[in-house]
Amino acid sequence: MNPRLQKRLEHLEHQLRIFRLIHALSLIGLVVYAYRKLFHSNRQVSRHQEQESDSPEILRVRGLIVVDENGTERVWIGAPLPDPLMLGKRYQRQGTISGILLMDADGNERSGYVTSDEGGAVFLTLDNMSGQAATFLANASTGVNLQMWDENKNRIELMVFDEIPLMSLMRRGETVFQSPENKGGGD
Amino acid sequence: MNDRRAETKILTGHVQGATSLSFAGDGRQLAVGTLGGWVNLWDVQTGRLIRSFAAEDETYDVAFSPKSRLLAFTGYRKGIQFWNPATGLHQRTIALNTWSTTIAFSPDGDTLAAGTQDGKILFFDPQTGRQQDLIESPAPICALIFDTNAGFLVGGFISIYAWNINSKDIIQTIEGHRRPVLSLAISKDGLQLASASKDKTARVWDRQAGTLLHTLTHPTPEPIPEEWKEQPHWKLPLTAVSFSPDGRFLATGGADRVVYLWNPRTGETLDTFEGHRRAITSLAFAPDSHWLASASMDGTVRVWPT
Repeated sequence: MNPRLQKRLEHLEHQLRIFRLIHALSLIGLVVYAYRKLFHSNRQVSRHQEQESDSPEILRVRGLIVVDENGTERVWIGAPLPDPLMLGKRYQRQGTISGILLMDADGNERSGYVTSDEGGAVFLTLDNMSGQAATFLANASTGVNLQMWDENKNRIELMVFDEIPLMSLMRRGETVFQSPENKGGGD
Repeated sequence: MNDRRAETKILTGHVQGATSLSFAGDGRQLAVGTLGGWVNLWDVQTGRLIRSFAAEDETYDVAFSPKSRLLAFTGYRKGIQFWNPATGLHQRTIALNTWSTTIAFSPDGDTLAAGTQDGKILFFDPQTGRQQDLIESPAPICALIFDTNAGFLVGGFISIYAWNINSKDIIQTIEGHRRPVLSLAISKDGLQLASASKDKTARVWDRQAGTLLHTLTHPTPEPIPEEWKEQPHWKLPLTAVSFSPDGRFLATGGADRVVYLWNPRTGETLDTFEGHRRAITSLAFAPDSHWLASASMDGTVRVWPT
């Protein structure tokens, strides 16, 4: 064979081997790419499903208790909420409520922002150490009531019920102002 | 202030607050109930913790049996538990449909009475756990005590009732407090009954006549203004009251964190004990009357020399 022709043939065969190698590598790369793409996509779907069922941003619990450095329970979020603790003992609550309770440094229940299972009212209470001192309540159907009082029967009451606004002031158990005047008083 | 004040012992580590106290008959051991799931037993002389009982419940009251062979305590979810204080072994638990915040052994130790939140007094045999009897009370029972002299059981909510132990009939009703009674005590001679109330007063009554002898407040103005007797203006609820066995002292404590020592015959203030950082929940004198223990929501028990 012509030596020049022989040399050119060898060059072409060399180039062909290089092209075959490139082709093989490209195929491998394509397969790897396709595999990774498919796998990544599946993982994203899986993560999305995880977020839907168990999102780190949304907790589903029946209750949550915040305690202070002494271990005293200071905040309760619960459905339902526990019986009230006062001065080291727990006493029976009237009815079942759910919502938020605040306790003082002694663990005494001092405030609640709750709904009642009986009657469906929603109310806010503020308590002193002797018991409730203020309530702000809305009934499920109609009627809203704001009351503040002390243990010596001094009381302020504002109410709207059946389209009638009512206001009364009591001093030591006796009504000193009431509007409209025909509203029944009493402690 | 007495010159032994430096001997005051401070027992610490009562998780979530100490709620209740009971001295053993010999005065050497003191049981302390807590909200944190444990009842602790202390050596009063050394201030050493002897052992802790796993109540696994908030504990509202503790009581040694008269011969100190049993230690009973009551809580929110697990009912009434009986433990052997010498061995630390659990004896039995009596489950309740509701819960009891106050228990008391009869003087002979054959009965444990438990006042419940649904207005009953339940009587149990401590050895078997069997219910012996039942009293339906007109109100929840927040405090309960046996009158060792007269065969009466005295319990209270806002009114104080005395029941005949045998007939279970109410034989006396004492009115005066405006809020629930949180603690009761009877002097050893049986002549005086003391009550501490959420209405911020402690009252000393003639036990037999049911008449009011003294109204005690923290702090006590001298003299008490007449109108204050009807409309209390002083500070915070009183939670605990205890007579010293020798009859010389009456102690009161409450949410103002101060223990007051009174002459029960005159109503005169004898001493005050300050140091607790949170509300006082329970008081108990040692059998020799030389020490007064106070439990507090600050997690400590202080044992003061009287």
